[in-house]
Formats: sequence, structure tokens, C-alpha cells
Amino acid sequence: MTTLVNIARYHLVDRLTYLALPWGIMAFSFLVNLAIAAVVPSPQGNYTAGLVTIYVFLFVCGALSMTRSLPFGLMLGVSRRSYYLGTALLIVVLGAVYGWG
Amino acid sequence: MIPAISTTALSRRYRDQAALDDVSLVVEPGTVTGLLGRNGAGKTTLMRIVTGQEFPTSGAIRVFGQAPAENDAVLRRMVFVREEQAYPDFRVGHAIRVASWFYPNWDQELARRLLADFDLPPGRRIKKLSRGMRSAVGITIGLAARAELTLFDEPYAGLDPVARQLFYDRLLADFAEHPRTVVLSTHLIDEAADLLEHVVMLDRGRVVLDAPAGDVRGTAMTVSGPATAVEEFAAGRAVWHRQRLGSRAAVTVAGPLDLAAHARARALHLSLEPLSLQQLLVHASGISADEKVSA
Repeated sequence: MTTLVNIARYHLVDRLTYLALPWGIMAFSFLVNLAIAAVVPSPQGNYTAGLVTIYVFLFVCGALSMTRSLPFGLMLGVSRRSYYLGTALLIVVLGAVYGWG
Repeated sequence: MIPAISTTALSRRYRDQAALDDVSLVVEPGTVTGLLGRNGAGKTTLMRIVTGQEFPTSGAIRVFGQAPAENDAVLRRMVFVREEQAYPDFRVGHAIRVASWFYPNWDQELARRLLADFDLPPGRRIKKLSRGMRSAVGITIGLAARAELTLFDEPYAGLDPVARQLFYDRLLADFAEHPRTVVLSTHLIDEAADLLEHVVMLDRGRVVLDAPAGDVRGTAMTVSGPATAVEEFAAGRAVWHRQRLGSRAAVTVAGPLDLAAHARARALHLSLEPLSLQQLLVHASGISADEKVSA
């Protein structure tokens, strides 16, 4: 369990990726949508797919995690299974915390 | 005593190419073993199998008596420093901090000292470092981790000679105080020769030499002097290499030579010189196709 927590912490050392950027990107996407909605009048209200940005961003995070973070983890004697479980743990916790807020 | 690493008939094939072929060897705990061989000889493949990152096609591998693949109990006792290690988008200090979480014997003081010795600024992003400096990050982590099994795979790409000497000195000093098992693969054999207690030489996936470094040094001798005297001395011995320059000749004969042979060489006014480990490797890979170098 300590190993899994360490792997989760490992992802958070660089605070930008998992803590700041998701919110930054969401805020940016929201503002762009807001600006468009202000310019383009529509009596029924607006529906946009602005949320898609976050999925694209997290997909890229996942890819980078495989090519960059995993090799360093392997160097430090982490098994691939532990790496996967630790990363999954982080995602679940972050999902729960962000979902709550 | 349980060996740090033991393999039996280990083979790894990629399609029709054998990266490792019938490798059986034992690495005793508390020794520094040199893993030597040319590019593509199978050194990295062997280390990747030891660290559970790759799986053998056939044969068995035991690390501290257990199979290493996906085995956290064994893997967490190892650190594997590779040439051109990939790092996340980290600063040097981040990488050091993360590494310290995974090793119970981590020595922060040693890490700090090594960073200073290698002139590594902790606040610098790793991707902004030069090749040599990136290698120094790996070396710092590898030494400070104090892992029971420390594997260095050509750890010094781009490092200058001064920094390499620093690595050898620090490895030796720390090893003396905190014995552990070290496996070092290298091309710079003569540089590292003094560190090595045991040598394993791979050639095209096969073990061609597996012996204590002390025994290896006497394995072959170069005899040089007047051509006729050299030929007389070499008669009846296994000759690896012959070189002739005018009336003088130099012949490399398989050793070890006994006292009588030494006396004979002196009587014939021949000079005897043991082959360095590096020269030995060059010869061994030349003749190794099926015969083994006996040490």
C-alpha cells in the first residue's frame, strides 16, 4: 500500500499536470464558450461540447504517463502492476475530490 | 547463501534472433560484477530480465531466490540505472525526492554530496540538462538508493573523464561502507577494471567468460622479442594472435604461464606482458564463436 501511495504522490510532484491544468483548461474552455454565447444570440439557450477538452487533456496525460513516468518508476524498482494500481488510485481519489467540489 | 542473481539456461529470442542464448550464471551477493560485451551482445536484455521488465523465452531467472517478474518484494530491493533513462518533466530535485520515497536505505546526505560533486543544480529541469548531466542524475540516484542489488547499464553516456572517475571513486567508497551487490555493464573496460571482482562476458547472447577478475588477468600473455626466440617460446602453446615487425615479433599465448615458462622467457630475453581485460575482450569476441575462453 505504501508503494501505491508513493506512486500517487510521484504523479503529484509536478503539481501542474494533475492539480492546476485540468481546472485551468476547464476555465479557459468555459470562458471561450461564454464569449461565443454572448456574441451568438440563441433564444433556447446554448449547448456546447466544451467538456470534451478535459477528456482530450486527460488522454494526453495518460499517454505521457506511459512514456515518461512509467520508465522512471521501473528504474526505481516499481512493478508495472503497482504502477498501474497507484496511478488508478490517484485518478479515483482526484475524481472523487473534484466531483465533490 | 542465496545468490543475488542466478539464471539457468536463460534464453530470449526476438523472432529468429537470439538476444540471450543458454545463459547460466550466478552473481554472489556483496560483489561487484562487470557485465562486458559488445553492442548487441545481450547485456541490456539480461538486465531487463533481472529487473522483471522483460520475460525470458525459456530458462529460469531467480533474484534473491525468487522470480522477479511483477514481484514487488524483489523489485523494491533493486535499482536499475540505464543509459539514456527517460524522466518525467521533472526538476532534478523532484527526481531525487521521488527516488528517496522508494528506498528504505536512501542516503539523502550522499545524494546531496553527489549533486554538488557533479555540479547538478536541483532546480534545473532534467530535459534542459546535457546528456552527461542527465547521466549524472541517474548515477546519483543509483548510488544514494543503497539498494541491495544495484544495476548500472552503461550509466555514463556523455560523462567526461573527471566525472567518470568520480563515479568509480564514489561507488567504491560507498560500497566499502555499505556492501551490496553491484552489476555494472560497460564498454570502458580498462577504466572500470579495478572495480570489478567478477567478470561476465557476453558475445552474441552467449556467456564466453565467467570468472573472478583476478583469474582473468593472467588468462593470456603477450610475448615479444626477437622473432626466432618468440617462435621457439610459442611452440606448442595456444596462440591467439601473431604480429611481426621486421626481425621482432609479438605473440599472444593463452596462459596462465607457470614459473618454468617465466624463467624460459627470461632466458630467451623475451618480455612478457599480461593482456588487459579490454584486450582480452577483443580477443574473446574474435574467437568465441563456439569455443569458450577457459579461465
